[in-house]
Amino acid sequence: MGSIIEARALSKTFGDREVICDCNLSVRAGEIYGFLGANGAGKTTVLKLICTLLRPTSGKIEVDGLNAVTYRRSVLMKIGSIIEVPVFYEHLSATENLRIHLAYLGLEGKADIAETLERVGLPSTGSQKVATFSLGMRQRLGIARAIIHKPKILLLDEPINGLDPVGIREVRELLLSLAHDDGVTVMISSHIISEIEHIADTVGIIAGGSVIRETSMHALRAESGGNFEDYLINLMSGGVDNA
Amino acid sequence: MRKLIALELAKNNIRIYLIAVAVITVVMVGFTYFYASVPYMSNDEEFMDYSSIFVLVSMLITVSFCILSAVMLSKFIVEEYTGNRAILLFSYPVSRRKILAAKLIFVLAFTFVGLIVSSFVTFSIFGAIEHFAPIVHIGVFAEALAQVMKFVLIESLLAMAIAVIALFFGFLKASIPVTIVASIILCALASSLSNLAMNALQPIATVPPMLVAVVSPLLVATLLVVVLMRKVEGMEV
Repeated sequence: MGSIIEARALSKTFGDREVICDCNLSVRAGEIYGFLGANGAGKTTVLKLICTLLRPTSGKIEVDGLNAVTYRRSVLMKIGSIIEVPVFYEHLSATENLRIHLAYLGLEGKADIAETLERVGLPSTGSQKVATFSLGMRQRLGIARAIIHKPKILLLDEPINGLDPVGIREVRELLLSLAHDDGVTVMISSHIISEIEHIADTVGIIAGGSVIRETSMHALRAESGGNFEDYLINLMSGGVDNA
Repeated sequence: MRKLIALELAKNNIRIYLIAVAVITVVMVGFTYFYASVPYMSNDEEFMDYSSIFVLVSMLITVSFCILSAVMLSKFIVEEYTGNRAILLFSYPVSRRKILAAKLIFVLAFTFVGLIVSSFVTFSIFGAIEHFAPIVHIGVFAEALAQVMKFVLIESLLAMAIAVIALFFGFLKASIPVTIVASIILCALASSLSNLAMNALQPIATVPPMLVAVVSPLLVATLLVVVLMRKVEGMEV
């Protein structure tokens, strides 16, 4: 399968600070792509560049064959995302929040809100206002909002923040089911190695604003020689082999 | 566009603003009585006619609505385009200009209609009570009402212009306090200007010069809307 997200020679500068420089990455359709990096390595910036919230200083990004800068709206239709902490309309219920989201997508009445809430493990909150939701519930609602329009691509920035161990496992199973049953391409960023280790088909490691390694989980495991975590931490901290 | 405006209505809690309009109206009936009864409390004051009282009260109503409008624009626009809220807003596959336009149209229409309705209701309540227990003995109520409503119409236009200009400063600074303070300062400026105009000419005869005084802020406001549209289009979050 070809790549559905393709970044070439990407760079992004904020003022005189180069956050992303000469970054290349390619996500194949239908896979779960684990995007690993230390805090501040540029994970969120890359995700924002992909979903058109930021414009690259140079280089280009194609999403499903479309340039992300030129075809902003078409690209956004293909993407479901949680970037940073998801925000909601606090005085409305989960269902009303999703209904508004669908209306903005031009899909009112064309998606099953109840089924989506059920799928993310958030059934029967009824008319309860989102303002009263716990962190975990908000995260689940965020995922529901990201998947409700059945996007081709799901971009998740640290999606397990605030979830308990049961929640983490449920989200993991949900993502696997989305990728394997629904054919959704999932790109998930995290600084937690074990989270990526459990689900990713391909791992991209970002350090210092550039993807320094992009390889299959399988190959990575073989390379690590049994000590997977140490190996990855070493890569994430700049790839200098000091072993 | 109509759908985007309806969505703004669904996203925001409109009831509190309607309550605010009701409160403003009630308080303004109180102010109308205050102005009407001042001469009774101090003997040396001249008795006022309906028109003078209404013009004074209508200016207070305008200031109240300028502030209400600044609060609404803070909530609908300044807050929505900062931080994580902006991420959500810009994730919708909808033209950014159209979303901003929908927000502006809703808040400005609310200000415009609210100001006119609130003024009309204030003066009508006062007039209805006057019918049974009159305390103002100069002027004809119906004539004064007709005259002051023309004045109110112009003030509503001015209030919209002030709201947009205040929004512009608030948007630049991404700050709710800046929006509201800017609105108050602009109101003070506008009302001292119109006081000057009123002193120079008779209050109700000032409609044509007032119209001119309103056109320039409206032009400035229109220009600032264009600038804001550009800003939103190129915004990165």
